[in-house]
Amino acid sequence: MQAVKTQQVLRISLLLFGMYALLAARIFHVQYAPDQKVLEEQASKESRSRWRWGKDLFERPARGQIRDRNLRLLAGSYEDFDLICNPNAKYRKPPGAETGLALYERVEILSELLLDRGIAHDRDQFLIDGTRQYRMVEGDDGKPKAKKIRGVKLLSGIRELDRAYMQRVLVAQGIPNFSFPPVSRREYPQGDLLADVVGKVGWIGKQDEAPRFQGATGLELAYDALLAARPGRFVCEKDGRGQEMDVDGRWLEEPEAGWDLTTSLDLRIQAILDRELAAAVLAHPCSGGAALVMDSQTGEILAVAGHSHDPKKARSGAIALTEAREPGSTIKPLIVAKALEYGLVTWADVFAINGGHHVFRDGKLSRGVHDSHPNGVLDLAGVVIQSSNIGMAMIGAERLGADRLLQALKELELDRLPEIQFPALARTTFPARSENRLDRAISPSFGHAISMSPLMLTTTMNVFATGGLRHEPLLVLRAERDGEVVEARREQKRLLPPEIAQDMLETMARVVEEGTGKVLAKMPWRVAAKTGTAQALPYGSGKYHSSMVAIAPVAAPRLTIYVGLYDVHGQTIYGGSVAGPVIKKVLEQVLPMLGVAPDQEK
Amino acid sequence: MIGRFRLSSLIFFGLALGLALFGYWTQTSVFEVTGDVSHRTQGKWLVISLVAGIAVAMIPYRFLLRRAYLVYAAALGLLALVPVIGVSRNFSRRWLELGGISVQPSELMKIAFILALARMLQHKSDFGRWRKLLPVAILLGAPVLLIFAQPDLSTAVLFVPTGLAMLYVAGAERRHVLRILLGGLIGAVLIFSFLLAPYQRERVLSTFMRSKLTESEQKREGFQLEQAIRSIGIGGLAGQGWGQGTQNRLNMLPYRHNDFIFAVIAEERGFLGALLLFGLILALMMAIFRTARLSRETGGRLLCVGTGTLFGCQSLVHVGVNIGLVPTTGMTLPFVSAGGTSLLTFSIAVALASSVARSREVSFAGSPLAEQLARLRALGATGPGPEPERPRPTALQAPRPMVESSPGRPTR
Repeated sequence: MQAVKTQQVLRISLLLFGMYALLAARIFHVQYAPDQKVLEEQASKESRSRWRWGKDLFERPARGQIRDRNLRLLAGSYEDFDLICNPNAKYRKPPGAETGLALYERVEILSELLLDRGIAHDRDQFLIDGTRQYRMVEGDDGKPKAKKIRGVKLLSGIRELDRAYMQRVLVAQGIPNFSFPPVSRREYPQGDLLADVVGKVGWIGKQDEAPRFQGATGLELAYDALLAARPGRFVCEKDGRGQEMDVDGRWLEEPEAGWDLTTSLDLRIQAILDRELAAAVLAHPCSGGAALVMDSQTGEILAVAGHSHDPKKARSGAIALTEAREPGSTIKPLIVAKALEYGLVTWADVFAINGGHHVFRDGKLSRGVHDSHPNGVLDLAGVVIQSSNIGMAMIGAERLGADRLLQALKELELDRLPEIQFPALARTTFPARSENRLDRAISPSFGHAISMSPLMLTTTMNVFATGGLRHEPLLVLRAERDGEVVEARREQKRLLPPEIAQDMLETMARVVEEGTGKVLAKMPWRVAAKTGTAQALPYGSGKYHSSMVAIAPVAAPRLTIYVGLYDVHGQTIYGGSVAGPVIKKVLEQVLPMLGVAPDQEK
Repeated sequence: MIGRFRLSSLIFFGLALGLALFGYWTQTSVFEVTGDVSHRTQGKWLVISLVAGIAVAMIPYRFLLRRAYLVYAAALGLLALVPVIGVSRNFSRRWLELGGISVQPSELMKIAFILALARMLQHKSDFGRWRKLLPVAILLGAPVLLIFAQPDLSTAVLFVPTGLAMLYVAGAERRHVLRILLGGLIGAVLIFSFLLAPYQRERVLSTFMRSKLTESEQKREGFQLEQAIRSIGIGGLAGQGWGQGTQNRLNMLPYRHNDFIFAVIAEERGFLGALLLFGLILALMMAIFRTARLSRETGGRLLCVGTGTLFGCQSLVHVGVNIGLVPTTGMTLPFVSAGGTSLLTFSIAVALASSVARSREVSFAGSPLAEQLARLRALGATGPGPEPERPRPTALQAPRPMVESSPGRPTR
């Protein structure tokens, strides 16, 4: 019997029709009633925005420049391109061409292009590197195996114009093997000069963090927050190949260029100071030296130099800011000035030095002090001029006392870090409380048992050039961006009465004329100075820190300059004869350059 | 008769060609974006399929039914060759390279299976005992297992409703069908638990239980679905226009020339375009099922039911995948998706239904369309003269003289 089941057919077809109705309903739902979850997902995509520098290369904001006071470039940024070759990129012969190009021919075309553009390269090596498709790597089983090379850097430092030209030619010929990724670079046109002060950068590109240069040392590190360019946060769709589309994108944060910094440094003075210090460091048996030139009237740092005697040693260009040493006798004018201010001594006081040796006693305590230049009786100025340790110890131990001396040093703000931003600025250290009362009163009075950086010493000694005002040292004068200028804050504070400061400046001038700083005497300008020869640690090693602080010219001070050579030993050890000549040479070159007229006959 | 033949054939071929051209039009929009030249290949396949379809339609279906087992054996042989000399693409071995042409034997197996099952069931009316279903199970099981091993789960699964529908129409009792369905469900759960590859399991979960997947799994296996749904959502009422679909132009949707072509249609042609597509699919399905209903010969009826169910289910699965109702799987939309073997298979399938329709075993009498056309033709021939004589129905064309078996236990 024939089984005829038309009803069954009808049921099956109705079932299928019903399912299609369901599909149509779902399509309608998708098109006209979007899922709330889908909408939420869409909204949350905005939080998955990406860091971007700019819409195209030329909009890329750069890290700020660092310049000297005359706007000469110390550090700047630029972009160029690497040339990356992917020998395994998929190549199709161009439409219409009978045959495609072999990889070798394609690399050869690029090589010719490079020669055309005058970009030097080793042609043979270029062809070898560009056509090597595999490299050997160690497999999981420890045996070597071939791995396809996906990208190899053939050249770097390609300029934008060359890149654009070469890329156009490559695209026209359908050659897909080469790419030119942009590379940000930081350049330091002054080379070694000021390298340690300006510093260096590294490149960071951490996840969830804007890829950028990160200051690593020096000013680059200290002012990183200002110098750094910030990429913007950009939200946009991506196409199926993962390429971003700018069409519907928008900036959540606009990219920002860094601020340009104008420093107080003067490249001309820097070059002179650097050269003269280097010569002195090489000429004397020592470990190295540091020097600093400051504008007397503003506290602006004009030059900072540092050198090692041994060229193999690590660079030490910024040790004038970062290393503290015992200042030795250079500190004496400061302590005498404070004693004068307290009224504990007067210019008329005399001190019986009694030869070259004196023993101080305080109860059971005793301490012998030695003078290298034996004197009989000295007045107060004479103590400074002859740099008498015994005289200073008398002031420290008998007039001031340990506590008052410490108070004086703190009132001179030696315990406060300068407000300039620089990594690892050296702090001043004072005698330890554990030392006995007599030592705490005697040692600091001639610059032992305390240590300070040349920056600190120069800043404080500068009060004699400004009539008792302490100018906060400045290293960066202003920051600029897009016409917006932020000037550095200039602060000053009175540390000494003007008359005491002026008297002490005169006394320091007499140091040059009559005392330990005679090396500066026969100059066209009247110069005030104080020398220092501190025993290097360990005491008795026969090594000395020989330094000198000078203020010139005395009539209207323009420069305060510090030069110190460290661990000096041998025949010539005194500050006047080791550091003095450096200061002399620097002043002789710099003062005319600044237009300072001579004020005395040679 | 010739007039009726022309009408039925024109309906079948018109609808199929309409779908194929609609698909080709959409494919060119996709290929324009990808810069591929595959639409030329597709054009060639279109011509080949048309010729093959016409050729098959000219052959009486009973001639083919008599050789059904031979065709089945040949297709099974090809299918068995796949694991041996097959070509692997996208982590599946489904293709054979024959004379430079890439052929997917599982597609050809669909036709062979329908033919063989129709041949087996055409004289069978007693399904009272389970063992009598054993030959059917073997006929179904062999290709399903081979295809499942490729792996091509979706195509393998597609054989089941096709076979069930044919079995149901052939006279199997409802309880048998329900039990087989229940068994299938249990089998599906077991397969999901033990036999599916991790990626297949993720796809199933990403459709039905998205929250069970980790975010990376959702991204990996839910990506295509998300993009497809976005494409459909973008379309709106009238679509974005040919070649203007944002998702299409931006290459967001992988495999949109075949497995996700419905999403492109919905994006570029909108809801109206989707409805037009549904209209064409349903019209073709209706024509096939109508032929089945009107066929008085069980073999022809079963062929039509198999063809219609296969066509309907495959289209359903394709659209279902595109809108997230069915786990993501590589299933072409018959006639519309790119893919030569698929196009050829369904051309032959529709040609088989057409062959059934034109056979003398089908009565179109009582069909209002046929009657009206006959009347119109008579009017056109004679002009506004006297009312033409109504064609007298022959015995074969009598409306419904067929004897139906009583519902319930079949007669012996």
